[in-house]
Amino acid sequence: MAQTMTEKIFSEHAGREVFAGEIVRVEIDMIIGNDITTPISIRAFEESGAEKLARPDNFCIVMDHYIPAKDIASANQAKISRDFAYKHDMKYFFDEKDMGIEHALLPEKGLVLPGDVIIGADSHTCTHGALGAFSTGMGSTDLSFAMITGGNWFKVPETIKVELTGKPGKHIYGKDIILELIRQIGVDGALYKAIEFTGEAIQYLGMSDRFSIANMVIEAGAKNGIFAVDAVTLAYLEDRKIANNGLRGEPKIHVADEDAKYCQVISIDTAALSPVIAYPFLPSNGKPVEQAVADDLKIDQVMIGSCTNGRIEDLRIAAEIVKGKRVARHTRMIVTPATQKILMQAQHEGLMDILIEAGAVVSNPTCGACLGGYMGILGDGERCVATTNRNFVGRMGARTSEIYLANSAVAAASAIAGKIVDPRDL
Amino acid sequence: MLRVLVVILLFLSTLCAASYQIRLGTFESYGALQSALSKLQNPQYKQKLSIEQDDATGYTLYSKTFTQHAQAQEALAVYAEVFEGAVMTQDGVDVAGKTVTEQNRPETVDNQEQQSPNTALWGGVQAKSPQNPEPRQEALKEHAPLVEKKAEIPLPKQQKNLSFAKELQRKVFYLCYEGKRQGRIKPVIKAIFNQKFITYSSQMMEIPPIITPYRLVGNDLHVTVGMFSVGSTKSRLERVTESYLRVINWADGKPVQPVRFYFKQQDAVLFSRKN
Repeated sequence: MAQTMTEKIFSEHAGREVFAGEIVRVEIDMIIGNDITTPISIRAFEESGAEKLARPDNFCIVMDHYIPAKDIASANQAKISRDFAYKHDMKYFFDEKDMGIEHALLPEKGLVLPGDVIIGADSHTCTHGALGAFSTGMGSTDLSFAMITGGNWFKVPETIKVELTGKPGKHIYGKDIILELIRQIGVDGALYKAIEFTGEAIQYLGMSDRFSIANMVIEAGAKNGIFAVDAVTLAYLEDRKIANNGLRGEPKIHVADEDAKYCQVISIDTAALSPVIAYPFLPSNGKPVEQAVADDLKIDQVMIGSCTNGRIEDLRIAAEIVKGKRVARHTRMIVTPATQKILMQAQHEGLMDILIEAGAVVSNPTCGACLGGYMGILGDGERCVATTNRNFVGRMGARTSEIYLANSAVAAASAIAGKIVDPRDL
Repeated sequence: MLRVLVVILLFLSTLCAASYQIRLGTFESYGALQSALSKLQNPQYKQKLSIEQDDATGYTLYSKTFTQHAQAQEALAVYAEVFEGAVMTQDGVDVAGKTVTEQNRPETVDNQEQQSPNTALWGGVQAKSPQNPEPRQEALKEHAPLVEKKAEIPLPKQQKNLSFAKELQRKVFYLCYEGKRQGRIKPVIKAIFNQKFITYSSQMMEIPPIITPYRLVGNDLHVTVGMFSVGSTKSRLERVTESYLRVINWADGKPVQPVRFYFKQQDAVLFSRKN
């Protein structure tokens, strides 16, 4: 019987053919924790009486939310993960020495492979679906169950097929595609469903775009987002293999059957898209950039970074736009490379000089600003264009602040103009 | 020498144009919110929703803003079918749940204040009606000072492990002073704590809300006042109950009335009426 990609991954892990709606228990290939969710998992792990991780090399902790510590509370919280990692001599423990935002760092390290089943105590764990893996966010206690047993239970999700047609125009990126999809189906439009991205437009999307798209499927309620492995994926994996002296294991490539059963099919013509701006206070409030320009939205801050858009490609786009210009007098620009390697690569390419000379401030890799933790908190009434993934009330700071989600080109161009502008007009 | 308890000078007069929202519910996780929202079938009522994220409370889902009470009431009925705890808010303050109609709608601070031409302010500062405005200093002189002798306000034993910083994460409180009523009514003042500032306001106001800086020194709340004869106030969290924080206060180093920081407006109003 025909299967979707997600059904095939679960079938391979379950050792039998499984389909949407079935409950399966499977082994987890990579369990991801971070500095704010893992302490809860650790407590549950220790309270259970467990002494050893079931699969030590399939568990990683990435210190990324409040690292370096922003205050005493976050320092003490981080200490819990550190103590656990050293006690269990964890192979995959990424702290300040080798830091990055987890959903950018793990693929970069070659720790995410096509065909994997991945869970993480972070809602944007779905990012890794860009590499053809099943990857989803779970609660901290679910994570502890996997730490103790090595596996977990899943209800195999139904799949929505999203066909991306056409060739994206200038300054149309993965961010615009996912914001358009969420605009169409709403923040609950894909509740507990897989979203499988297909179509001719995929060939034009680099891994950075695919990561952005998969990253934000949770904003429509999806269990996971997934892309088929193609030449772009394989080239990325080859790079990772060389950079890391090997990958974590062997990729397992699954392809959806032609007659696989989908619960819904949605088509998006990427050639017809304008850059999409998600207005406050929902990611589904997408509007074309032309509308934002007409609304004459002056901005106080621009934030380029996060697990959605903090990759080298984003910094290249931003640097190209701000080169030789200055950020508007009343506007601030924060750039947060998603990993230390991205930061170094940007430095090597001269992007840091361009960004800093333009007036940007560059922070360490962290989730801080995106979640309103530190490194870019918004004050009362301030308006921010952010390449992040959520624009809820109070998400990045004051309750009266506003976040407009956009791609990196819109963000950079807007920083120069001091208001939201269309980068295609530059 | 004239002293006031805490400086909240709100000249309450005409009711500002009201805006209504429905607070559909608060959820521990975004996923739980999305699950609940998916049960709402009417697409019209899914438009222009907003989500508020707060580390302390989680994810709160709000409807769009209505300018007419009747429209909000209609929306409340629809939302309440899916969200049992849906509540209407007026200018950010809870007004009514799903079973409340215009007829049995509870009296709010608005109603109470509208009945009073002269509205006493927190700490006994009284504002004249908007028809007969008077300078602030004159208004102050008409009322008794609120600073009491030390012996009359024995400092209660403080609960252990209290943290003002932690409690202030609730951000919004409804303040009412303890002790004897100083005017015709005992006012309830809304206080919103942002990162560095407190915004004091009322449902009825002739002047903009008062914003004043604050800081936490140890476990004490310091508010820079800079008006009247009080330079600054210091507050200390003395007790935490299910519905309010009991806060003891000093103005310019001398003890003044304790103040209750209620979490819900209704509770604060009830207290003000009974005392």
